[in-house]
Amino acid sequence: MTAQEKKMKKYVNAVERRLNLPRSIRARVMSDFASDITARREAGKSDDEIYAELGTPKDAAADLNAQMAEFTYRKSPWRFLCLAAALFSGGYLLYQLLVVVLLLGVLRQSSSIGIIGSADGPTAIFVTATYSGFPWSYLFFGLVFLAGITGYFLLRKCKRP
Amino acid sequence: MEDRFSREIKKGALEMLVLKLVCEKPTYGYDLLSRLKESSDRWLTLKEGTLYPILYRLEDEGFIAAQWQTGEGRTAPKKMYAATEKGQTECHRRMAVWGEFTAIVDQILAGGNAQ
Repeated sequence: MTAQEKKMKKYVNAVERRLNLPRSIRARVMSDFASDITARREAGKSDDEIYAELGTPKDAAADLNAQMAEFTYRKSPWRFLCLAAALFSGGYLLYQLLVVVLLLGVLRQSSSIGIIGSADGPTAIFVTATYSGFPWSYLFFGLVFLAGITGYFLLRKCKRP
Repeated sequence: MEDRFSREIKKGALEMLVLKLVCEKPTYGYDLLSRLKESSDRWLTLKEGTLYPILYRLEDEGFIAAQWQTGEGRTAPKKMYAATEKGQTECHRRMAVWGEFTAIVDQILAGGNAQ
């Protein structure tokens, strides 16, 4: 590769680095951009003229970013619903976890201090009643939480306008 | 030529003009920029950033298709855009719409002056 070609390659890479666009559009833009530089060369322009026309990498990229921003696909606003669902169910599960921890903590403390009637009897019944059977609500909220998180990140990927 | 009104009317016609040029013959980005500039007395001096969204919109709607053209001889490969059949039809349609629209606008403008 000649020094001239190296310089041009550096220029193109510098522009690409500064492009703030989704990967697919960036590839599209860069292929056209490189092609147009080739075309300018074939039209007889010197590299210096080309750089002058296109501007510094910073300017060229800024122009492309600004113009293509309108064209950039919008992220779906539904992602916030997913996030809200995730936060709500996550919060609920966390709250339940705290209750369990506290209850267990209280129970353990009670039994170590040996308060009569609290380690078994009503407390024990309450604890077993809370945790009897399969914790469907936890499973449900757990799934909602996972779905919400997944949905949020998936919907952050740009969709068509 | 950069006041808002001029910008707006340019915006309206630009996509149609690009489509028309591609319909005339397969071409590439820089060629479009040059032809637009020359045939418009520099009224339509675009930068890459303005042209690409237009090309991509036309391509996404199936009016033009891109293809890498291997260079002949010492020329390097370039990305060429060619109009599809759908694009040719659409081009004629848009030109007809443009004709109708400009006729009406001219009519209203002329009518206004008469008063």
